[in-house]
Amino acid sequence: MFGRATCAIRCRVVTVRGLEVVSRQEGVLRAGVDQASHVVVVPTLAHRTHRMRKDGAQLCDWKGNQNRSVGHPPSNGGTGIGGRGMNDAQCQAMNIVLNREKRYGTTAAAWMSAIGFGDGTIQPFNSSNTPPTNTPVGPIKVDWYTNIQGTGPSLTGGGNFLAYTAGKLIWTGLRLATGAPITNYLPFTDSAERNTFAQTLSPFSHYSNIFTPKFMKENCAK
Amino acid sequence: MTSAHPTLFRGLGYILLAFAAVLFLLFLANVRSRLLYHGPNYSPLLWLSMYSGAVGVGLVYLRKWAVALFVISTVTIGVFMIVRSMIETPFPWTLVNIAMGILFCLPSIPAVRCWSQFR
Repeated sequence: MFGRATCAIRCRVVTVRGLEVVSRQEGVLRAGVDQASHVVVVPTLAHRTHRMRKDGAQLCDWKGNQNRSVGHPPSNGGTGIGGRGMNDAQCQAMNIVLNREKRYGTTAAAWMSAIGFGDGTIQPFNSSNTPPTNTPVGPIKVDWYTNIQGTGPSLTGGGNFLAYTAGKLIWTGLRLATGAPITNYLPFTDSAERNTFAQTLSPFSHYSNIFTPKFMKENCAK
Repeated sequence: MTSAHPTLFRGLGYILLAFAAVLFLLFLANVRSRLLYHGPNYSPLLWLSMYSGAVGVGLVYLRKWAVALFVISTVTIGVFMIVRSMIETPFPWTLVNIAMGILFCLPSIPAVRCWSQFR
C-alpha cells in the first residue's frame, strides 16, 4: 500500500496530504506514500537530483520549490504518464479550472490557476516533471497553455506569439540563472509545446474546448 | 538617415521600460503566489526587470553605456537562438528561431554606425 521514496538530499515537506513521514535524517528523507494521496516533497538544496519511483511518479526533485511533484500513480485507469488520460490530481485540478472558466472566463481562470502567479492549481500538470497531457486536440502542456492564455484572448495571434516566445526565453533564462535542467531551450522546439501554442491562437480557444465534458467523463470518471 | 538611429534607440528604450514594467508586475504576482500559496520562487524576474528598466532609461537618454549593454544583451540572445535552434529545433521551425535570432542581432548595426552620436 505504501510506496517508499528516498531523497538523497535534504528535503522540506511543503504540502502534505495523506503523507506519512517515516523518518527524517540529516541528508536523507524517507517518506511512506499512500498511493491514493497527493504528495509534495521539495528539496532545499540546488542539487540536480532526480529520483524516480518505479511507477514513474517523481517524489523528490532537483531544485528548491521550483519543482513539486505529484507522487502517486493514476488510480483511475488512465496512464497519466504519457498516455491518454489524467491522474486523480490532474482531474481534480482541471475540474477546478473548468469551474473557474465557467464563472470568470478563460483569462481570469488562467491567472488564478497558474503556477507561480496564481494559486498553483495547475501544479499537477507542471511540465517540468509531468509529461504532456494527451487530449482530443493532441498533446498539451497545460501549464504553458495556462500562461499563454493568461495574456488574454488572441485576436490576431500576435500577442500570443509574443507571450510564448518571450515567456519561453525568460523561462530559459530563469532556468539557466538558477542552474535548473532544461529540456528544450527555445520556442517551437518541443512538439507538444508547438501544439499548445497552436491551440492558443484561436480567440475561441478555451479549457472547455480542450477538456470537453466527454473527455473529462472518459478520463476522470471513477 | 543616421539621425534616425538615435530616435530608434529612444523608441527601443520605451519598449524596454514597458517590458520592465510587465516583468515587475509578474514579479509582484509571483510574490503574492509565494506568500499565499507557497508558489515557486521566480525572484530573478525582479533583477531582469531592474536591468531592463535601467537600460531602458539609459536608452531614452541615449547613453553609450545603455546602448552597449542593450546591444551586448540582444546579440548574446540572438546568437544563442541561432546556434541553439540549429542544434535542437526541428526544421522548419528552425527558420522561425533563426529569424528571431537575426532580429535580436539587428540593433547592433545602427549602434555601431552611429556610436559617436550617443552621449
